[in-house]
Amino acid sequence: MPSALHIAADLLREAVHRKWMLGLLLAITLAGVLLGWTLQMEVVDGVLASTRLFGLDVGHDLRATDMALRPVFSGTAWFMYVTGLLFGVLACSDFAPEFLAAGRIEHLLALPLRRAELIVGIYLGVLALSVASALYGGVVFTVLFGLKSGIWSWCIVAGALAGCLAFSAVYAAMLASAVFVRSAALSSAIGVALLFAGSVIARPELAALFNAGAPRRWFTAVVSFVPRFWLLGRLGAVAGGFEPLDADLLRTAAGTLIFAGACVMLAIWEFERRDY
Amino acid sequence: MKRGYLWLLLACGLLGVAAWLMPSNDPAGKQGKESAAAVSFPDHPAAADQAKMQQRRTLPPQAGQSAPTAPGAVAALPAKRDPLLVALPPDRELMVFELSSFFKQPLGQMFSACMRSDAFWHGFESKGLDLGEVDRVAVGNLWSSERLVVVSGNALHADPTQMYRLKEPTAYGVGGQVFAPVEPLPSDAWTPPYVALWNKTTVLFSTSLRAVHEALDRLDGRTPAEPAFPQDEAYSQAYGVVTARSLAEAVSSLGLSEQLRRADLTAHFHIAVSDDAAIVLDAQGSSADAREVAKALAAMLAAKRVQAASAHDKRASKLLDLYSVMPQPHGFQLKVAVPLSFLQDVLAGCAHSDKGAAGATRP
Repeated sequence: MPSALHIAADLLREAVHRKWMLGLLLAITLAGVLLGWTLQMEVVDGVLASTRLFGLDVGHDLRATDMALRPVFSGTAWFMYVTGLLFGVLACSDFAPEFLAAGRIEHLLALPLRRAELIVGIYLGVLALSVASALYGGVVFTVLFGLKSGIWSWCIVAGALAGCLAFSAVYAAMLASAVFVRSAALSSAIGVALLFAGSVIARPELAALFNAGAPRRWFTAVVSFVPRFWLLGRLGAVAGGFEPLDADLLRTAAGTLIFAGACVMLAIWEFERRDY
Repeated sequence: MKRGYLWLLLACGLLGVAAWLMPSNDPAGKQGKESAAAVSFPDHPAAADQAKMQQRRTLPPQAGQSAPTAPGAVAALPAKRDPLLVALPPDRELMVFELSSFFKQPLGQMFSACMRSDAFWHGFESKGLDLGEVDRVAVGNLWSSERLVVVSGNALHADPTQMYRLKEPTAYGVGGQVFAPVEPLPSDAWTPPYVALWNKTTVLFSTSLRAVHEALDRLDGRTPAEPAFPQDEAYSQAYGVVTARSLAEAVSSLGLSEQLRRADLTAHFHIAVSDDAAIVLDAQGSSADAREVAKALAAMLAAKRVQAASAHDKRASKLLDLYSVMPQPHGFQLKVAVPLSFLQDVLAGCAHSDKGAAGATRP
């Protein structure tokens, strides 16, 4: 589908010229530089003897370096996952509405490409943007902690990429909403609502609040297809070897990708039957 | 069918597949899937321990004693005392075991072998004392020739003459009966020929008649005595005080012996045992020694972790992941969860090193 890739490349070119993209890269770089300057770790015989952040002692107990850094690695992986998702929802909500805006859409439809390719192109472009940002942030923090402590764990990169996986589902729903109603605000709201549903509403603890029987069965059925974002966030810790890889996580990852595919198809269906 | 509807059908189909793939959020289906509970370190008494500690304080407060109170607070009544802790001599080292829960565990059995008192316990079980009635066993004056073993229970039906060849008892103090040996002391210092009963709740064993008398004096209140171990810390399945030197002997196989032997440290320990053991050790002493030993312990445990991981011993590696050594102003706190196999190695070394030195006491 080379035409879709052309659209994706077009979207990336447009993103590069936006100030928020430069702001994101600058923020990640600054955070890395700041942490690099202020974080001091003393490692003796494989034991983290002391850690100083901004000149203050943090963590006094003597532990094996990799164990002492586990909370730092998994915390940073979670941070990358969550911020990646939130930033993606807020920053990418206007791509699809702008591509579908009157004047531009007629021009695009005049090009020798199928309508499905246009939708897939927008989707792939935003995903590529998300993956590039996640990789940059993940690698910066991984290298930083690696140089400081001598422990090289790719869990931060994995956490950031897990954010991309979750974002693939969120953005697919946002794209579908933009095709139905061309509004960046609504698209953003759908993204936030799906994030909330996948992080809070679909949790078993919430289902437990419903009476056992029909009410709980109905609730469970309604939220059954919502991606479990709280589970996906564990991918970073799994990649670091801090948590075991279980079937639930694999099923969630596969289900999230399929949910994303379903939303993209829904967007294509609506786009195919519209007159512009 | 219009081609456009194919996309809708595909979308619905994929949503169905996604719903099928997503893990259930039905709480009923999640039962039993929770991961095993984390190791619980005995770093404070649980509510049940508190109740047990109160229940065991049956001795009246020492005459003329008042409980310490904060400035400005209303003076509290002096605390009652735990007879077992009062009977123990005021020594730098002592150990207390909850017999019912500790010695029935594999670790407890290994520990008793390490203490080389197997024959002693066997004597209990087979003859004059029903172990089912025993609540706790404590050892004081650990490395002196006047070692004292205190056995406590609610209503002990003990007949010491069934255990050893002893003379008829003589009364001592208010509630004490002392049994002396018929024959001179055997060479094995672990065999305790002097036995005393006190109020059907405590049995004392020692190689020294003086130690037995002193313990009875403390119990009857003839000699003023504070509990040999803080009463508020009498929890978990095994607890007590050891010096760094004794610790070095016990864990000589770990390669820390020299550092520990040199250190001027005293450590309060608590051990909780199940299939594995969770140990909390609060060491106090000279700051420089404590810092050095803390670093050595942390490095040793880090190395053990790596060894366990490279040997693909997942259980050991997972348990050793939980260790922490927290430096404190004049000591450190060590928390470590260790698998049974690890302790087997440590205590096997201890038992071997003691063989052939029967009856020897520490210098």
